[in-house]
Amino acid sequence: MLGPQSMGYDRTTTMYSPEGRIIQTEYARESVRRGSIAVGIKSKHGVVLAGLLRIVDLNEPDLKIHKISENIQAIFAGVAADGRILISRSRLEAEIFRLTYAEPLDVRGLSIKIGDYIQVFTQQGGLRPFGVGLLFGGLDQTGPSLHFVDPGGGVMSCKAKAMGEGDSEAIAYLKETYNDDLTTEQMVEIAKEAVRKAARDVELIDENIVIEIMPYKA
Amino acid sequence: MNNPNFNGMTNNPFMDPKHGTTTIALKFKGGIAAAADKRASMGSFIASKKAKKLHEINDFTIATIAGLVSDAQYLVHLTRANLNLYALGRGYDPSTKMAGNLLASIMYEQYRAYFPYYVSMIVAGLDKDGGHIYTLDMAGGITEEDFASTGSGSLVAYGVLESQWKEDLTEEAGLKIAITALATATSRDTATGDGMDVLVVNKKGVKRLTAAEVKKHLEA
Repeated sequence: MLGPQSMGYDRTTTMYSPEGRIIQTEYARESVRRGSIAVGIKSKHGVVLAGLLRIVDLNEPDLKIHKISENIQAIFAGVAADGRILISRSRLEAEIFRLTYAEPLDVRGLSIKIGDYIQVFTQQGGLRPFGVGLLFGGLDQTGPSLHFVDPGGGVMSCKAKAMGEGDSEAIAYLKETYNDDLTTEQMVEIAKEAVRKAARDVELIDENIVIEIMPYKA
Repeated sequence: MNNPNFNGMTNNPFMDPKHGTTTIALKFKGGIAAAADKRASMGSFIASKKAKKLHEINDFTIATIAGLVSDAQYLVHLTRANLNLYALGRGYDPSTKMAGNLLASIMYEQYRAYFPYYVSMIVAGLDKDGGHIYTLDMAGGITEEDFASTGSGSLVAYGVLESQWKEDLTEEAGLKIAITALATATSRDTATGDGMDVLVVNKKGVKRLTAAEVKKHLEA
């Protein structure tokens, strides 16, 4: 019996494998795992995002954490060009929302909008799914909010999340240390340590770790 | 092009704004002062006594509006959204010139589609080259000025501005002239009134003056 790969079920997103998987989307998740580590944590006191920059030769690395609107920041892991498209789109969605309702967009609303867009690429023919995982962190009507959007278009609200190279080590550390009463200072320390655990043999210096703190006052 | 009903709209007097407003912006050394009245009129009827005619576009840019309220509000929001996207993508703010020209492009496009936005606006602000004031007409024309006024009371206001404005005014003197010009327009133009809104842009950003501060300048 041939495996689903050799039967060609992994060649397109418009065909399920006999086990009901969309294998191209799973490959896209693999490309998230190749990205540099990105971590997000939320508690009653706010949201913290952290990420590792890969410094190649003399290139000046991108920002890693991207401001979407006055209340939302985003970080992604995976194919940088795909991520850039989604960041631009997120900013546009936030401005369109403000233009329509004169209110800032909520984190969940934004995540679902972007999730809906990403989903199209897992169902329509001739398209390649996005090779990025996105974390949206921010403060809105519901308080501190952290949402993860995956290459299949799935949207999840998270207490803490890590994605990218070494994410299993980072997630194990986050599970150990998390509680919902962490102060922003504690969250920064935990996020840094999670990045350090994921980065393994990469030397961490001020230039290659980026942190964004969004404190929340009820 | 002074009739907004030309393009097949019914001739409803409530749809016929009379530009009943006075807005003023002027340069001083290190910033911009802007003032506007709070009356929104529909012919001889006062539609609002607390209309907002001075708008913050970003941390160092403001806009004043005169004309059809809906068009003006929409243009302010659209400009703000576009400038935000510019700043988010680059990490630094666009210049005042870019803010003005963006708005002028939008207005010109609409004018060429035979359905202009019925507004006359001022875009003013502070950027790395200093203070700038641009006036925009509904055809999409844009000119840079040292001081400017729009609306039905602008002729009265210009009298004060022409006689009192000079280069390198202090912030205090600039505010005093803007407020005096608006007070003069208020006393001679029936479509201008119901108090004052005053903004100042300096290196600290945009600040809206309180009623007490405006009163102090008026009496000084």
